[in-house]
Amino acid sequence: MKDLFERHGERLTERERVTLWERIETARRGGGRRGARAWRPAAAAALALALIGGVLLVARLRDSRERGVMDLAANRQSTEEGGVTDGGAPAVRPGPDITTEPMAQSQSKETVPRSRGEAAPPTWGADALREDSRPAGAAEAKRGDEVAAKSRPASREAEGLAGAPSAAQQEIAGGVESGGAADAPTETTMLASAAPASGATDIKYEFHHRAINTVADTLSKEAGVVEADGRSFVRRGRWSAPFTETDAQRLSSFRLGATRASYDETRRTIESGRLPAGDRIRVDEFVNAFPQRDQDAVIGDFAISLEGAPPHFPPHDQSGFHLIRIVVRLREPSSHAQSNASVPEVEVEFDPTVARRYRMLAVGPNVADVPPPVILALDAADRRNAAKASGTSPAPDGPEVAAIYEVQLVEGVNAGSIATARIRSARPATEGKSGAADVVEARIAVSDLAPNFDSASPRFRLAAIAAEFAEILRGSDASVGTRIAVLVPLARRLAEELPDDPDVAEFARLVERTTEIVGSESPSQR
Amino acid sequence: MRALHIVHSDWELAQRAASGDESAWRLIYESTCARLFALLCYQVGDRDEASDLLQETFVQALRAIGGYRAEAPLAAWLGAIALRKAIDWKRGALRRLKRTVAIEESTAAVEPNDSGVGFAAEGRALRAALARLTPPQRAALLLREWEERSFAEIAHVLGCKESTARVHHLNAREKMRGLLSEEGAARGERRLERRTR
Repeated sequence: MKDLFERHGERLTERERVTLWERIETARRGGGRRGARAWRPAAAAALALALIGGVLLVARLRDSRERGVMDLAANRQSTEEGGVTDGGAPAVRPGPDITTEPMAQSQSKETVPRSRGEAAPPTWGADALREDSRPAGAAEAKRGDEVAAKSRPASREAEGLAGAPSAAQQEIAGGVESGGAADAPTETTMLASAAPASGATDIKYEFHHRAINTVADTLSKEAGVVEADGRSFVRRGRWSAPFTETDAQRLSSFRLGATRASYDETRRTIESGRLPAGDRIRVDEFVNAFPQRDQDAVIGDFAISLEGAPPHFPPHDQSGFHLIRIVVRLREPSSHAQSNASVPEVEVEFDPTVARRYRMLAVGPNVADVPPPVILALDAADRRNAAKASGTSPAPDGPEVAAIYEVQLVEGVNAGSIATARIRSARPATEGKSGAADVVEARIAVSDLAPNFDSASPRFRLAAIAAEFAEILRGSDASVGTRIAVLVPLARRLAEELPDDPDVAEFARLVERTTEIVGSESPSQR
Repeated sequence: MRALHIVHSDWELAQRAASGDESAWRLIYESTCARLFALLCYQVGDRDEASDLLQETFVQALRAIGGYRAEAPLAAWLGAIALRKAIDWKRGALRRLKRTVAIEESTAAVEPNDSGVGFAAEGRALRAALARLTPPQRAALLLREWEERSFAEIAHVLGCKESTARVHHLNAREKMRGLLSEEGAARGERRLERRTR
């Protein structure tokens, strides 16, 4: 059909093109004829005003006659208030009984704020651990000291972390249940976190379980578990990308490859009543399990959009922390969709005068950790087939990838560009198609940030909550202060806001099911 | 930092245009006017009206270019303005028609003006079929099939939900398919009649 439209599309003649440009130029310079029909709205408005004035005049005269007050003074008063001007033309001063009420209604419609529901409770981020959840022990823990911060609140928070060693934990629970101790508590407590090597973090857990001794062997075989005894175990891994100081490194990058395999695997595991192993969770695949559907800035082959908002909890909100979502979408068909060879990298440049530090909520700080970008290079049908062949669901329609960064702004900064996302477009500009460029970029400024999490777009919040969900399941150190149950009302609300997307409703059910498995306090009990 | 070769983007072009740079305006005009004109012709079915609407599109863009934030390419941004103008124009034309003739909306579309252009039968059939679509259906079809816009963009232009844009597109495609096949069959019959005479 595209060929059909191309073949029969009307074409401007050279003369028409020149004439039209001259008319536009005349308008641009602020004078002359603006268009063949430009006078029509003005004439219609003048006619309407004349009619209104006439009606007013007639009404007033009739009213005056009926009341019998056609003395000279009243007539002059009527004239001064907008009945007739000296020249006898109707004046453009409609009386208050005609215009005030509709204007008031119109204004009230615009000023009534939309109800957005209650603000979400605090849940997010690495600094929740350091600044909020474990203020006394975190710094020491970062230096490698073990801190026995085993208070009841810490224990409750760590319930969310039970997702990290969950496979082993479930085996433990299963063993206990079969052994007749079904009522035994199965909670874990995070004892300490330590950073023995660059890029890795040890997290030590304690099991409060009678039968722990019987499954020590199982635990020791869990991925990432480097130590295990009858009462506790230590997991080591790249749980979360650390913050990067923008002064030291202002460039970050990610590749255009996204699947949802990790999300699908997690969904199946949770639906079967178990929690996934932490090292099977990839935050980026959770974020990209859902379509982003932004009003993208489509330039050439690519679309880039950025959105930012504070996380949905107070500590970061007060510390200048913001989440920034970058969505890159490849248009189809395009030169990049034709081959796997030239899938490009998205470069994100942070401005050190505005952004103090940043981290990407993904598997790790290294681009090498991101999966090979084969999915994006396929078209939608191929992606579906590839996904089917590999037993996973395809990424949502439109080859797109989203990354979420957590950024802390420089204290006191209230203007300026935070980050610029760039992508190199290989396709040269072609005649008749504007927008193709060697480098496509889009940026987000402080003024573009949403004032709070709730006022961000639903898709932004969905991506953020999916990332949070993944971080909790991974047992990321950035999520220690988080209880997964907090996500339930947020996910439910999103399912209501996005009723056309069954995946969102499924996600809400998944989060809810996870709380049941983890044994967290359910929202209804709160 | 790695070196980047940055060519002017739409945003930069818009900034230059907003600051009164005539060459920027010229560039924008030259690179988009042909496509926009064809789009408007398909949408309203009349060259003269399309020409006027194109002029109004650029006049409005002149005033609004300062607010362009590169959320869409300039061509799409201008296309959105043009399509809104076309839809407004169509509504006005329908109102004018309805004042004088009781007519169903589905057949009230302005018929294409083929005068002065040597359209083939296929082109006439295409235009006739397009004229049978509602304005949103026609816009959705053109934007999707010809401009290759995403449904999110189409929804943005039409001011509706993405799901609604998908429905408009689907309905338009089905309608077009039916209309074009009918037309093809009719042409075949006419050809057969001529041969048998």
